[in-house]
Amino acid sequence: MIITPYTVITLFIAVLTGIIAVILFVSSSRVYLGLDGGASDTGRTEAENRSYLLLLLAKVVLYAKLLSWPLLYVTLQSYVPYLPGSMCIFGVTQAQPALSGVIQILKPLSFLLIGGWLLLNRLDRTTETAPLFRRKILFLSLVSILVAAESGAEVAYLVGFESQADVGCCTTVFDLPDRKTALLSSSILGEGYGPYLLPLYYLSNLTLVGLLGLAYRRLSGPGGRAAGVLGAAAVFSLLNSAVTAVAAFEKIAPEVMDLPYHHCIYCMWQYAPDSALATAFAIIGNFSPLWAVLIMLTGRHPETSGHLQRYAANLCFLGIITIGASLAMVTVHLLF
Amino acid sequence: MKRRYTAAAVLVLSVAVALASVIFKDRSAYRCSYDGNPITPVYEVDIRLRDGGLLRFCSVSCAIAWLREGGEGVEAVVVTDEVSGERLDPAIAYFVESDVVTDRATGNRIHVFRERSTAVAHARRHSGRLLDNPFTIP
Repeated sequence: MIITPYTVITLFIAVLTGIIAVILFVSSSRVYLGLDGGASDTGRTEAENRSYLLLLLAKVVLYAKLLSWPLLYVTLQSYVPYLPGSMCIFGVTQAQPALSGVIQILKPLSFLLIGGWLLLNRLDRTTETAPLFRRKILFLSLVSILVAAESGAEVAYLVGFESQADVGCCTTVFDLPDRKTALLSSSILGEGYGPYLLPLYYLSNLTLVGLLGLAYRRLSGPGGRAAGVLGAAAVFSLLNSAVTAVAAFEKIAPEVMDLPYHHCIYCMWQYAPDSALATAFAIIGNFSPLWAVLIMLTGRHPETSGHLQRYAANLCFLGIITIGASLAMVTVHLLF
Repeated sequence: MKRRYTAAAVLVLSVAVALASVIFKDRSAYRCSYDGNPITPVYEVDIRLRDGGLLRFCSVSCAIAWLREGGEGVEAVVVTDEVSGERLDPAIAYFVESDVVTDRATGNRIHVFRERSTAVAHARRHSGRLLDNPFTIP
């Protein structure tokens, strides 16, 4: 096991959130099952009062879990000097490739669902009678399973690192002509895909900004019928994520690092730390329409209608700002 | 109105951070003395001159090309182990020519390793062969 100050912090958070997530799952399932079958108003109020601590605990744990995603990458970066062959986070991930792959899928998934639950909880608290309580508790039990699984995988991952394990460098994967992003780009855009990738990146991101802007206008106006546009923005954000990821490896990373033949975004974060901020902005921007759709689906109730519209509009606005900021930062690097 | 100010502030701050990153980046340190290409640290070759000067190259190929084209006054050559990034005397390094191109601009296929086992493993994995030290000065 490799121990750095970041390992201690990450492990502490993972163990603590893992244990509490199991408690949250058991408690929320019990509360939900107790409510199921049409509990009386008095019974529901009692359950709500009993769940006060549960929800407070859930909020603290889930906020901590949101932060654990970037923290994991900081921890992996701190391992670089201890693994011969690794020059960046990519090399470190090659020490345990299977578990690393699992975690890198679980992290964004739990980030999305945790964000969705925190929004739902906040929306429910703006009402007088907490009409979303039952849904919120069911959602919490599902999120708790995911958080517990992710925390378990994270602990196993960090404990399983062997110091001095020989790993490959990113250059032997990302700089080969048959790297995945190059094959994908050439299969979609043709062999001479190079000049088209950046225009496609800008077009895709600006289209998403346009869709979010349209949804924002509709949600901010009277009536607020924006389900179609919001759904389109959410679906498009998935496509945009893929386009952004490919463009980041193929074009943006080499330009930002001033290394035209080096296609590693992990190295990009190392050479230009502000690019990590641009990446975070891009992730939040692409998640915003998904959160908006999630809150529209789970938070629908006559008592929440006014707030729900405002929440969805705010999320669209968040998406516009963060994608705009990410585009602005990338553009500065490409121009200078 | 407050929302517009927030959006403008986030955008201006983002651009400022990116500009600061671009301005304070030391570009001169990363350019090859032979072809001006950016240098990837793991493939760097340095040539120290007797007059105290230091030339940095992006690959073994560039350093050899500079020497062949009449490079004079060489005091020492330092290569980089591409596994650990450690600086080495070429006399104790292992050189492998393989299918892996380190730099498409120069087409360099020569790799440097500190450990013989790593060099042999790389050669086996990427259809390569071990080379003699190309920096041997007769």
